[in-house]
Amino acid sequence: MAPAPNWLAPQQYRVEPPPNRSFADHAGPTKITISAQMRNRTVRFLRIIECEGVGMLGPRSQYGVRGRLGCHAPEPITTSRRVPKMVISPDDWSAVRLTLALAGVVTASLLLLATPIAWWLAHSSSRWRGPISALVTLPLVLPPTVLGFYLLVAMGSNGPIGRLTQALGLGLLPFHFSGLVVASVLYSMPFVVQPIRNAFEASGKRPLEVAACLHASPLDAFFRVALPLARPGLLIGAILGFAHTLGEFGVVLMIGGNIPGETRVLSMQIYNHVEALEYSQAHWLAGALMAISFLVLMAIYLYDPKRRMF
Amino acid sequence: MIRARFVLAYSGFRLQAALEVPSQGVTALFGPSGCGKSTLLRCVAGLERSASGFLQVNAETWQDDTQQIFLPTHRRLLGFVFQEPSLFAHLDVRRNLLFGYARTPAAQRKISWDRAVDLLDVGSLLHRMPDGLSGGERQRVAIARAVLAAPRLLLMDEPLAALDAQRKREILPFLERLQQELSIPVLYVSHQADEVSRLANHLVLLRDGQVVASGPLTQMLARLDLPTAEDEDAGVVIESRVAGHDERYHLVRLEFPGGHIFVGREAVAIGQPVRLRIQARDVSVALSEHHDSSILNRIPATIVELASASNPANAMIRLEAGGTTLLARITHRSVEQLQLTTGSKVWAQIKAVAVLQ
Repeated sequence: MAPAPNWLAPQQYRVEPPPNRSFADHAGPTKITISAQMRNRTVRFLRIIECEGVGMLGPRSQYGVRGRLGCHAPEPITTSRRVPKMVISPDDWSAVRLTLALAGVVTASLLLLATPIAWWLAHSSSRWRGPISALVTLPLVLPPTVLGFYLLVAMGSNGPIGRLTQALGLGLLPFHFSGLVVASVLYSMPFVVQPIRNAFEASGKRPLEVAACLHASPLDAFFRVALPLARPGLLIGAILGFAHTLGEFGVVLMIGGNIPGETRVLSMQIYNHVEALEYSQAHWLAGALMAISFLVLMAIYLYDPKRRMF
Repeated sequence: MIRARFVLAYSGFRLQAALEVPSQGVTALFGPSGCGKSTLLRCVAGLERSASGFLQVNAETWQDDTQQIFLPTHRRLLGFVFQEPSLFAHLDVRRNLLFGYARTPAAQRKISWDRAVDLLDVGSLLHRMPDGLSGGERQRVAIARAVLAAPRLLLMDEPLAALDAQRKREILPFLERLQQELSIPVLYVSHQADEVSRLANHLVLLRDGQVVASGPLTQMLARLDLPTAEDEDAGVVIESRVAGHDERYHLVRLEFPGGHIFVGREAVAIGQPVRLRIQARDVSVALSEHHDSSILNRIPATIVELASASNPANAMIRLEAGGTTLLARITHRSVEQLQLTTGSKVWAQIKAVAVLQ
């Protein structure tokens, strides 16, 4: 009797292309080592890449986005299945630095701006609370291109913000780092306001009343009681704001364009690589971004205020 | 004197209260839930801004809306103990205590750090975080924190209501010591008759946002025309003194104007004041002194008032015993059979006495 196959042991499988198609320009079947449970799923995945993923790139090149980004039409697909190796260029590093700088500046500005807004939303009984809440949350549901479009118009040479910045001698913000900061702050606002607001609402008015009864002025009570009690909310708001800015694309596209060293952030650089079919570079950047985002979000879920991990 | 007058209207509730209470001892604001006693306390603290208010503590005016005077809460020298302990969760016990202490100018401090820590026995808790403390410990810390903020007036909003009976017994002695050792006037909100009769010297009765009556506790509890007399636990509080011991039977003789009673208790110093509570349900009346009864405490008294109790079967009678008033709850049937009227000379037979302090 033949021994039963060991399904858990790594094995080599031959993945054949679908009967009526071929694997791009790759001659012959691919050899890959995978665990047994993944076999069917992997086959299906490879087929999807073949049929939809890679094939989709061709027709999309006719859209205007590519022209705007300043990319050239792709060469015939030749490099897509090359094994990724360390190919991060100085341009890539510049995009990474720019992205981190943008996320840092935006997070700091957001903490300064969102905290008073969150405070007001948590404690005010004004009839403006509803409309302001909705306004702050708007970027959550709006396509970034819509926000970007209006900002582009408003910050343009004929827009109200544009006139103001010109009158102040700051020039025009679009296609500059400062324009990106303004746009990103607005775009990431709900991600920061909401957790801070929740934290303020959760601790309620009682700690402030207690502080007042212990001779603390309202400002004193805010800094010594309300803010420390809202620390988990502030931390989560900061992390979400940072992570959200890291991955921003649509608003950057509209307001910043694709200027190296000035507005070409990571997501833009990845797009450029993909457009140029430099998949390995795209892989490195995209993978790193995904890993960082995952770690950041995991940090939030592991965060336990009682254990004081931070 | 503490004089206060507040008018405050919410939807469906109106507080219109004026009170004048002595600036020493414990004044209980007593009434059913929703009668506005907590709101009144919050008005005194300045946490609730009333439409029209006036508040004078000793000679200082904290609020007078006719003259546009409103001292914000943080500038009023008061301490507030809330129903739930409300410690700052991000600070340890020591820094919770320091919060108000550090914000009080040294010249205004009335009680030293060590004394407050000692009085409320929180010395062993100083380096613990609030969420590691029991409910009783937290409330003790909250009281110490309020006391350390040098209050000229201590406000307590049902400080024992969130605690179970066991913890309550644990805290009550601390409140009594506080009252005995510090001369800070206390406004104490409660709807628990036993707490009030144990702690208060002065009683303010509230109902539907209005002050029904106000006066010394012993006099107020002895009145039949107040809601307190309708309570199931109605009864009087008597201030007595230890007059002697009966070594053989392990009894203590307590004297008060108009008589004495024996209670079974550990030996206490002669002359020490003892507060007693005698409930109306534990007092029966007889026309002659019964030597053949097991009831030890019998006091000659005169009926001064008869009234109906909340239960239609019962009558409440007020008895005067040489300067001390007692309440008794007996049936209407007994009133008729014994032909009791005002002026009748009777023997009050006291079946049970609660020693409060």
